[in-house]
Amino acid sequence: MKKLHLACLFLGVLILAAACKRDSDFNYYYYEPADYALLSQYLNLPDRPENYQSELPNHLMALGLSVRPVDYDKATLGRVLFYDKKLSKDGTISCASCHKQELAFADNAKVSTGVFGRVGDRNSIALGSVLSFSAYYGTDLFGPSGIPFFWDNRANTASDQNMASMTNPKEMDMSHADIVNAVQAQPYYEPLFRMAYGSNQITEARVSEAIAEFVNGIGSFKSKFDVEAEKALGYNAYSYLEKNNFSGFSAAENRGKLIYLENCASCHSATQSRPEMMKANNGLDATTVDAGVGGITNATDDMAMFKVPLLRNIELTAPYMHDGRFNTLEEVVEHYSTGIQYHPNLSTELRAGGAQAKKMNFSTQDKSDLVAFLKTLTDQELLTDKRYANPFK
Amino acid sequence: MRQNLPLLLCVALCFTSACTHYYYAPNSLQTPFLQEKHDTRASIGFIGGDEFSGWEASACYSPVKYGALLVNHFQVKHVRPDDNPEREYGNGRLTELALGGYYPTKNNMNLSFFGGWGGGHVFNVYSGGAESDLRFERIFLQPGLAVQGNKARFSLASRFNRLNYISGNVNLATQGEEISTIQNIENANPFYFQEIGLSVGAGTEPVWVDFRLNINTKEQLRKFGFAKYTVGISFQFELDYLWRKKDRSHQMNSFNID
Ligand code: HEC
Ligand code: HEC
Repeated sequence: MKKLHLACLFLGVLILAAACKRDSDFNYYYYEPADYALLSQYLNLPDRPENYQSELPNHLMALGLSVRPVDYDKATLGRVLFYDKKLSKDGTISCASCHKQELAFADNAKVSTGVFGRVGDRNSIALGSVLSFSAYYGTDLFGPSGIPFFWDNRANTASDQNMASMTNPKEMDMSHADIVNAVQAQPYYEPLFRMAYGSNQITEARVSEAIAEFVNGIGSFKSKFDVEAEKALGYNAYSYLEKNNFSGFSAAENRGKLIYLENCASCHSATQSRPEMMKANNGLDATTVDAGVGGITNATDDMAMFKVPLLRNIELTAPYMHDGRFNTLEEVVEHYSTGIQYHPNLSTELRAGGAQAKKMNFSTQDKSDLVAFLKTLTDQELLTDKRYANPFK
Repeated sequence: MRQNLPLLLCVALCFTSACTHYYYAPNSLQTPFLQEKHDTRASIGFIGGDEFSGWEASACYSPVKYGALLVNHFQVKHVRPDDNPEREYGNGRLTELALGGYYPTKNNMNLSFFGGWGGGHVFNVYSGGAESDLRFERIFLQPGLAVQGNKARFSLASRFNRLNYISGNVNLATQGEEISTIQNIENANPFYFQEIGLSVGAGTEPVWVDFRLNINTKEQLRKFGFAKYTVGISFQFELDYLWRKKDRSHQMNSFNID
């Protein structure tokens, strides 16, 4: 009987002891602590990957656009690769050298300079000029109607594109073996590959896929234009004839919008979503200087034809055109106003019927209104978005 | 698109239910049918629930009349379908010790009461490679009632639990729902809830087979990944029968010698 009493006492003490609430200790981690310590020696990465999944605003969804799922680990790896100068022959150039975040991922040089000071042939294309490479534009995901990469449309996928950049002698000048070796030599890639691919095996295909994932994860759709387009959902704000204004635009911006819809939207897109055509000649020169698409296809019809760029963030991406010939938007507008040259392949939109170049003959007011409108396409958030920033210490 | 909505919902539901991860499941409520001092029972059984299964073992001893000592061990794992490409997985275990008393009445009834303490952990692997490992402690009070006849028996018990997750190691290599469940558990900790255990058994001394149903009565806990029920089958051996018999034969032998 004594034993029973003892047992009861023991039990009571036990329950009392356990009932006093003990603070629980939950520890959340993404990278193994040792991996994160290693990464942190070289990189400023958050302790878990950023969300690279773009959520398109309704006015873009309403156009039937969608973005495909982005793998955050691959995009994180891709971000490091994008900024890594070790990926170039002389260790001085990364993708970001010619695609600078503060310039919507464009370069402010007329033509960019690659490894060993080699000067390239064309003006860098702003990665922030599109709303997202994985939404129709710039991808073969949607079959033949998808729009390819480069001024001459020579790459079909973001992977083809970045392999071309890495191996281009005037850009990064790496051989295929160089790429793998350069990546293997850096200790921080081991954990990044493991997280992205489940194994630390480094292959060229993985390098390329990861960069593509990052590039596809870049999205720009938070401009003033987008804010207004979202408000305008439900009525046609893109009809030149209906002349509907955006309520939050200034009078000049709304006038500029109309001029744009009348003269430019048939190529560059009224909704800033995807260009209306894959290639065009906008009358820069009367004779073929750079063959453009024709240099790839050799077709006479393609001579001096170039990709029709999207104009998001255009304010930031000077100089303009494939050869960077114009330094300001005013010069661009002047070109369309009075400077269009007649070339045999000049696109019909820019012809005054027959073999004549169109003269838009904008008034001074028209010109400044048009420029004011183009400036509403700037997305300030993109420029400082930490998800896309240089991760190196 | 409208017409497809039910279909979509169905797909979504099937999809989400396929990814259920559990953070708690009830082990069987033991009512060991003790009769007298030195009674000793051991049982082993299979137990499982919706998409998980495993085994449990229990042992019980009466050191003094009306007093008892109980040890339970329970472990289950997620039943992974062969065609599961996501490599999702989960397992959990619990070991506990309880002290209590029993009181056999004349009419084959047996009342019992246990208070116990134990702990264990649940480990989960999610699609995308994330992992979580939560450790918990549980204390309980458990009144029970059992009736045992010659060939059949029945029991009903109720367990009042205080469950506390004392620590968690959560590898976040995922982007989803599951982690928020764990954060919710952390915030809602500790949990108080009642479970009910039923068993129906058949057999005769010294072996019994029991069918068990254990139910967590608190519906709100489902959203924390607490399994609603477990079912089991267990085999109980009345170990004392062995030495009692020996004792008896020994006594008889001595009688004979005398
Ligand atoms: C030396 C400068 C330079 C470097 C380094 C460079 N680029 Fe480029 N990038 C350019 C130029 C110039 C173009 C346009 C070239 C052309 O069209 O012929 C371009 C075009 C692109 C395009 C096409 C965009 C479109 O809308 O068609 C993408 C995408 C791109 N680069 C991504 C990258 C990535 C990723 C890297 C790193 C692997 C990289 N670039 C490295 C200069 C560079
Ligand atoms: C026939 C289709 C067409 C029309 C119409 C058109 N453009 Fe273009 N635009 C192009 C093409 C093609 C290019 C690229 C040309 C090149 O670099 O060789 C271009 C380039 C530009 C660029 C430079 C983009 C960059 O990233 O460097 C700007 C700015 C521009 N256009 C603005 C306008 C404006 C404003 C209008 C209306 C006044 C207009 N465009 C009308 C086809 C067109």
